[in-house]
Amino acid sequence: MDAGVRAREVTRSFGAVRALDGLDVTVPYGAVTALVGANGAGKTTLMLILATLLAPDSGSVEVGGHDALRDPVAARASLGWMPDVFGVYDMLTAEEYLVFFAEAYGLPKAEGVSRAHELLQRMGLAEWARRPVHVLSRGQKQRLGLARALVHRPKVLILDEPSSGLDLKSRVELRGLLRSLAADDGAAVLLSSHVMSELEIADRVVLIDGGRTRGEWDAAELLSGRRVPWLVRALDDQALAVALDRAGVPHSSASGAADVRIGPLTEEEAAGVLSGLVEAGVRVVSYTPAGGVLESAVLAAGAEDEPDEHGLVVDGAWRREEI
Amino acid sequence: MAGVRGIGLVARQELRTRVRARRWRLLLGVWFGLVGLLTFALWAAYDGGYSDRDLGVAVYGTLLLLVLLLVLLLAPALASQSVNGERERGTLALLQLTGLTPGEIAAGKLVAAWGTGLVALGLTLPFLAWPVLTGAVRPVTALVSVLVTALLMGVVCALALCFSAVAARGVASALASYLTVFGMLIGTVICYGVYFGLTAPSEGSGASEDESRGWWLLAPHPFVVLADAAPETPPRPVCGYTTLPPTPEHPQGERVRICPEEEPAFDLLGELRETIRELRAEDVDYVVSDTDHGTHRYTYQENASGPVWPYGLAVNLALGAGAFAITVKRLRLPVKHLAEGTRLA
Repeated sequence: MDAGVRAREVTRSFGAVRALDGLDVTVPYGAVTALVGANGAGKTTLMLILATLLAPDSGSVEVGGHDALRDPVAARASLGWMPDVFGVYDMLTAEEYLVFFAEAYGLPKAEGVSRAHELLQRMGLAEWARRPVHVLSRGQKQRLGLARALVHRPKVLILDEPSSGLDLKSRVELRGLLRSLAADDGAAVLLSSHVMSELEIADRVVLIDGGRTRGEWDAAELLSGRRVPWLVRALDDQALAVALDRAGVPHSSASGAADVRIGPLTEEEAAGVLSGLVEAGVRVVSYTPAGGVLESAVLAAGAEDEPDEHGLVVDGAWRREEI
Repeated sequence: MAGVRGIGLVARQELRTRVRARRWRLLLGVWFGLVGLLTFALWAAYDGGYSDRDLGVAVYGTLLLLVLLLVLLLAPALASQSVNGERERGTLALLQLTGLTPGEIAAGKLVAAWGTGLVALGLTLPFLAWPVLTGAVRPVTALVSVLVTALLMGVVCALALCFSAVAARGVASALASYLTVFGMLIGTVICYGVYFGLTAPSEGSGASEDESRGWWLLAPHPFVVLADAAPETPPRPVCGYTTLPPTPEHPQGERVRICPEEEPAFDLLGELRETIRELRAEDVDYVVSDTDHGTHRYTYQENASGPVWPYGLAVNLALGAGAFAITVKRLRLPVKHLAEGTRLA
């Protein structure tokens, strides 16, 4: 597999705390890889090491085909990095901000200006080009940060908690951008998150916990044949319950909740249940995996892999955010 | 990327931020007003007791030392949060990951801080220029003294920049920078005093009391460097010790302390220069000759006591260079050891 990032047996300790304990991760080109794990799992430490900001205690790291430990300068030239905290020069305009970083990456001034305009257009920030950065909303700043990470046309993108603190609209827009970067530009995109709903845009999922890789899955593979709960909403709750009972589909409804939880079901089974409901005359208005297909699948896979030691589902370590 | 381009890029960015920030414009305005006020106060204080020429000399010397003091107090404010402030804003790591080298980032920040300080120094030039224009102070004196002031400001900027790269918090680096300036101004004098006391000859030791001791401790003092480096205005002899020709009473020649007969105009720079050179000189070379009136004429020999400022300036520049090297080292990636509570990004 042609990979933008390849890390093997990476370890890093801070005093007595072992943040990474022999972690492996591979980020292929042309795909979005989600690095998921609870707070303290080691995501940010790994991101800092991959970005060549922090040295690991041991292990090997390759970024953009360069040994990031022996030749960090070459590795840096091929990677774009966006931290979870947006770094801002308050006094610059959005355009100046991008042109400055373009020049810092070695682009000639004229090319930097042209690249800045191109990115501002792509990020939907063209009308904000001449406005000071500090007047931008958090979502706009996040998109500007992504533009900055892309200014030197990197083939590898490392994004730490890119959706952190974004509203629904901004989050959806960011997802679209990331998908486009991987699919259209062929970039290797690695994003970390403790928000499981981020997984929806991922082609691959890497689950880490306690500084170790707990699993790496292709998103399609992960979904194939895996049973997850589904949520159904109908105009007539009574008719829905009757139809589900007749079909023998287990269901439950929280008091006061509009949705009825059914399953767990595979995608194929879920499609069959939906057909049955429609045939039974139930007027379904909403039918969706509970908490996201991938989220449920990863949680299930993680629980299957390490059910007792990590207790990913039962200990509430995950913060689940609906969008 | 060429070094100069990278340095220029970082410096431009820093200066652009400062120019757009209202507080910097305000600070420079206050600076200009303060120096103007000091100049006016000095003219008023010295007026009346001197000729026009001597008044210019007196005002120039005092004003220049006050400007140096202000510059040394301003310099830490210019650079003591350059690195950790950027880290706190979350932009330092972004900058470090670009094609800019640690040296370019450090030099760019130093140039910006120093450049801002030079603008402030430039604002004092109209006030310092007046004694030059009236002929009281030689242009070469003004040129050298402003140049030395600028260099000393650069040294303090480099030290403050270093503290900002070492300390995680801006408050800590600002405090360390001001303590360093305090050490340069007061600490050197205290060290000299202590050293002088400890090495004072005890009674009956036979050691001469005029022996120079510990002048090198005062050499790095910014005022000493400035005063000693600036060419004299007007040229003045210094007091010192010499041995008179042998007489029947003193077959070996009497050892005496002599000073010029005529007191020159008050010149703070000259006073300082005289003091430090006197400290250094064990024996000032005077030519003693008989006069028609049966007295001796003492003719001061130029360079009788060697200049002190090259040593002092060298120590200061070495400090600045060392501080800059540490700054560059602290900006290198990847970071191996992370101090507790420090975040990289």
